[in-house]
Amino acid sequence: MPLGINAAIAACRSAILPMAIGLAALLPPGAATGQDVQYIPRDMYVERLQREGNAITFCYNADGMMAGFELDLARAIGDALLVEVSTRPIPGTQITTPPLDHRLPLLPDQLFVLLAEDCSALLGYALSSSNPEWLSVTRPYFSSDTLLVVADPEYRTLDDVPLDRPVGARGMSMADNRLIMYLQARSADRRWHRHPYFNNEVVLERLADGTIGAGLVWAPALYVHTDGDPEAAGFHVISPMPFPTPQVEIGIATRSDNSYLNVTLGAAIQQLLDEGTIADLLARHRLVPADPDR
Amino acid sequence: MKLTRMFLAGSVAFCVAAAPALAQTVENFQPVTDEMLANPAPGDWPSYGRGLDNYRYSPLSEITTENVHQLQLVWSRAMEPGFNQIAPLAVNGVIYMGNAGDVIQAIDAEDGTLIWEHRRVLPDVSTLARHGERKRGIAIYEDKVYFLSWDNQVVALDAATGQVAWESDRGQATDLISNSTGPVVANGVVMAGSTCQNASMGCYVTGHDAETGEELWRNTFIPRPGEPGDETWGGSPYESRWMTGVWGQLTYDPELDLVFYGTSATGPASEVQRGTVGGTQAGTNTRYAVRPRTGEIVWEHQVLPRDNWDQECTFEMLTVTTPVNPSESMEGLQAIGASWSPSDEPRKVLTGVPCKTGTMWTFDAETGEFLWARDTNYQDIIDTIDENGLVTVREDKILATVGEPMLHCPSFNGGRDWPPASYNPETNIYFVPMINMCQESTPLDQEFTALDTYNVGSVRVLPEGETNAGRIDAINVETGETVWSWETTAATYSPTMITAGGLLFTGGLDRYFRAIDQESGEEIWRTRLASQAQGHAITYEVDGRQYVAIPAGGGGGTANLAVTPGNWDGITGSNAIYVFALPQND
Repeated sequence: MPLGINAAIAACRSAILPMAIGLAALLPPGAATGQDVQYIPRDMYVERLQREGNAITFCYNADGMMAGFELDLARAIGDALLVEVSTRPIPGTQITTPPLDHRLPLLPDQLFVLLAEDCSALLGYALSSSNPEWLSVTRPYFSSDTLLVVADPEYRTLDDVPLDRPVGARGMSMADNRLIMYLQARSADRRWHRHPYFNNEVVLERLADGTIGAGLVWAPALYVHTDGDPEAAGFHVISPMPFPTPQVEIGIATRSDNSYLNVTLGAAIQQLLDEGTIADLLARHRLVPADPDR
Repeated sequence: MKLTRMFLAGSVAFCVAAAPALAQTVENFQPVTDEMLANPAPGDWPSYGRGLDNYRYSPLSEITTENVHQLQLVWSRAMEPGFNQIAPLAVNGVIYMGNAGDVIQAIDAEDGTLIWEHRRVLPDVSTLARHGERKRGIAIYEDKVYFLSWDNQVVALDAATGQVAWESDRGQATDLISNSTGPVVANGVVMAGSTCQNASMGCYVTGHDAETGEELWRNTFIPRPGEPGDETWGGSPYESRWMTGVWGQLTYDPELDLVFYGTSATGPASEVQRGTVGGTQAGTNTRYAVRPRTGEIVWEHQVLPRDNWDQECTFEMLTVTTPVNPSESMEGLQAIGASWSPSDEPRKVLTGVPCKTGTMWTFDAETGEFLWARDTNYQDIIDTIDENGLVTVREDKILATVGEPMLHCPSFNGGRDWPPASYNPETNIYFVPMINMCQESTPLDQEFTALDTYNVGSVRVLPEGETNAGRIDAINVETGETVWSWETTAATYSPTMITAGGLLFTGGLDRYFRAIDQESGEEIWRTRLASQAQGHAITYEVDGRQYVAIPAGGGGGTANLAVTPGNWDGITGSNAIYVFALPQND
């Protein structure tokens, strides 16, 4: 059932705005790195160069593993909101999209310009504590786990993995941070060596070639890589995890000053979650196990 | 039909290679020889640091401490938009300079008239490392001008016409490898480092035949499994070792036939997150002495192991002939070498501040023997330096805990950053631009977002008790003693340049172009420009008149450097080169 824009705002303003404000409050000031900040003309902070009326243009990463899902999601959101939807691939970027990953190939300032010039919303944005202040993220449409994966079927728990076999992880992720903490909590003679890799694909490759005994892999990456059936591909998920890992929450990024759109999109996402549309799309694109009961 | 196709294909190839050059020529162009690079004519500035020694010192003395207040703008000229940290060259009345975005120009040094211009046809620059946009330095040798393109090629242009002579593709441009500081030409070899700050691999220095562009050698820094130094990387897999490059300026000493360069650090900043706990990481933050014809490493010395703070020891060091008598009472003394003994006999040393830590190092240039080291700005990262020059960092400053803030000094921008220092061979004084700045770094517990290569949240602050961020120190190279320290509110982020007229020139984030008295350390002249000045000031002479030039405009790193309160109005943009001189008597 389509959800009108006004109804969506009424339904979600009370829920979403406090969440956005709360997220903004968590932002560390100047969460930059050692990098330079490109010059952005001041008027771009208050102006948007495109006006779309009753339509929404979504940008998405055409090279990303979730591209097909995101295109379907954009259409579903359009149907829910009764608005015209167009989709636009992110134009050329400075970073190659890592395979089997959610990382966006964009600099913060490129993202700023993108949302000022090319599109109103960007699909596939992972919630982060260091989002720039000019950016808001909707409620997540996809929350996914990180899994502990082995290739040797003899390993039923992490403790089955010999200590001389490294444990791999996608570096600079929350799951990798939990692995760090887990290892630091063990005595030095009971720690596995940890191998942080650049992306999930490398973790799976090193599992397959035996370089590592176990690996932390973002769940959708495992399912896409194995067409939804890790066991058939020779990978085994260790359950339960020996330590908790936060979920990766993925939503839609908009400019902070476009709170109307942000709230509206959040309402549409909620409806699509409630009625099972998003779950169906995730299954269709093999971002979840082929058989959830497996 | 076939001929037509061939003609069209040939035309396209010609256009791509050569069309961007404006059809003017440098009249009476004289090739620039090794001798001219080693001992420049007094009125010329033929290399990045004027000489290959990188002294940034000119013997010109028409402009002095007495008359500098009379300086007037003679001409200025708009430059291409983008980061403007350019180092112009001046040879025989012609300025050769890069512009952001791979635009190389020859300009009449007397009145700013464009002679020729090369506009490189680049691939989609959004697929390239942004560090390659800035063309800090170019080089001239014999009849060619050399630059490193944004897409990581060594390019030679005909110095008289701007036409492309050859290109040598170093590859991996779309893997985000590029170059920001430019090449040097040493003993007939064009040498250039590379930056891998956003690449998923380590970088290299290459040497190319200056006449043909043939790549003669390539030196990498990160050890592979089984290579010497592999054991110092904490057991991390080779494919997780990345970023280390050489993006600071190279120095050549013709007498020793050695090129000196230094490497940067690795990412992410926290050794825990990068998986190198306790590892000193051989190849990072290391000073190398190399033969330019072969790339043979003659000596090397790691000046900062186990970097958790992006201290990048890649900045230029200088070869200086001086007695070496480090004073036991020098401010910030860290160590004096075990084999050193007092002597008034001059020896050739390699000296300077190679890292953001601000630590000044002095080695025997030929052998690498450690002589002495001292702090300059406040730093709390290094614990000790022993009598062999081996560094131990402070364990309590390691970014060891995810999510836990750590205050450290200096910041990711120094201390010292890329703006080059200068050295006066007449007074034996070294002048180094620095920043008083500390940083609270927090290893992030979040999903990695694009180009967060250090993966830390950071807040820059002034060191306790400091009120000024900008600073230049004058240090006696023989004794290591501080002669004076000049400070200003806004961070200094522009190279120093000195003259035999007793002056030190430098730009400012506060848009001032300044002259400081080399002897007293007092500011004695300044003028305000349209936008902040991060470019390399140079001086040159045409027809007996001395000129001082500075490129200014779009800067990088500005937001990170705004740690001091007050309205110092450091607006960026409107790139231009400004040229000053004394009024003419007639």
